Amino acid sequence: MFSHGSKSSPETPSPARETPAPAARPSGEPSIISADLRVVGDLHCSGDLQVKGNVEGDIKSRSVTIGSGAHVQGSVIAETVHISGSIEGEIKAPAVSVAKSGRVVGDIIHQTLAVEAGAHLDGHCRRMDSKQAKAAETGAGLSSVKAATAPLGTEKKAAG
Amino acid sequence: MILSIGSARSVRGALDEEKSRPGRDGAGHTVIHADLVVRGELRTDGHVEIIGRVEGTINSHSILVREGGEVEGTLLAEFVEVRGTVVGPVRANNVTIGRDAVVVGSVFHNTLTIEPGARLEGRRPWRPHIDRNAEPA
Repeated sequence: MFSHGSKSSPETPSPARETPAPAARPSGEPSIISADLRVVGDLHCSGDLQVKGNVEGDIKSRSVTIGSGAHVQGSVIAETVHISGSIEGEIKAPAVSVAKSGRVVGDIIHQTLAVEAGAHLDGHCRRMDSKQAKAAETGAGLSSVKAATAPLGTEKKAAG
Repeated sequence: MILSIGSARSVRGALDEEKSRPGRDGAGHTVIHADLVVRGELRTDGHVEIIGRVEGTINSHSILVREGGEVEGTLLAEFVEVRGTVVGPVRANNVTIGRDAVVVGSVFHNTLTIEPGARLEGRRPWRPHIDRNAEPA
């Protein structure tokens, strides 16, 4: 019924994967975690990320925007972080800004920090030196996402 | 069981222009772009579009795995459209598998559409109704 004979084996699933493509490819547009989405796990992004929903886990990205209805439980490591929502966890980024609707319970490790009047801050605000800032920039970038993931198809076949 | 092969032209892209299509009850639209890797479970009543990579279970009203998108884990939804790669079981009421798709794992379905060229490995058991809130993910 289906042409079983011409199927590729699971080890080489599709032509797009024959060359070891990076697990994360550059994308011009921000990824969006919508308001009704709940993520239990980590997010690794080499580009821009907009969180409007709930995330229980760590976020590593180039830029992170936590929207006003969003709730994050976990750490955020990025180059730029904008917070209009709620976060329980450490924020580590060279540039951090907290809007007046923002609520941060945890430390903010930053180089530049902007906080609007009315924001809820509960934690230490520590400054990172320029060496740490450079490490944060490359650490949140594409290279760490590539290293962290293996190409699909090298895993064993999932049980049906 | 409704199985249609080859005449999927009208169905192809049914979920493609879903950017403005709300999920059930006008719920949201999540986009996992090419540069995002999610390791964990996603749960929503809206629409999830995957252009990047997800390692874990996705429980949603509708799921679209675009070309280049990869999921390693279970897809549990009312509507599932796969144009990329899925390794793991798919449990949905309405499943569409595109011609460049690779699906490794069982596809539990009520309605199944497979375009010529799709690569499938696993059983495709028909179930009268799949309840994503009751189904063990």
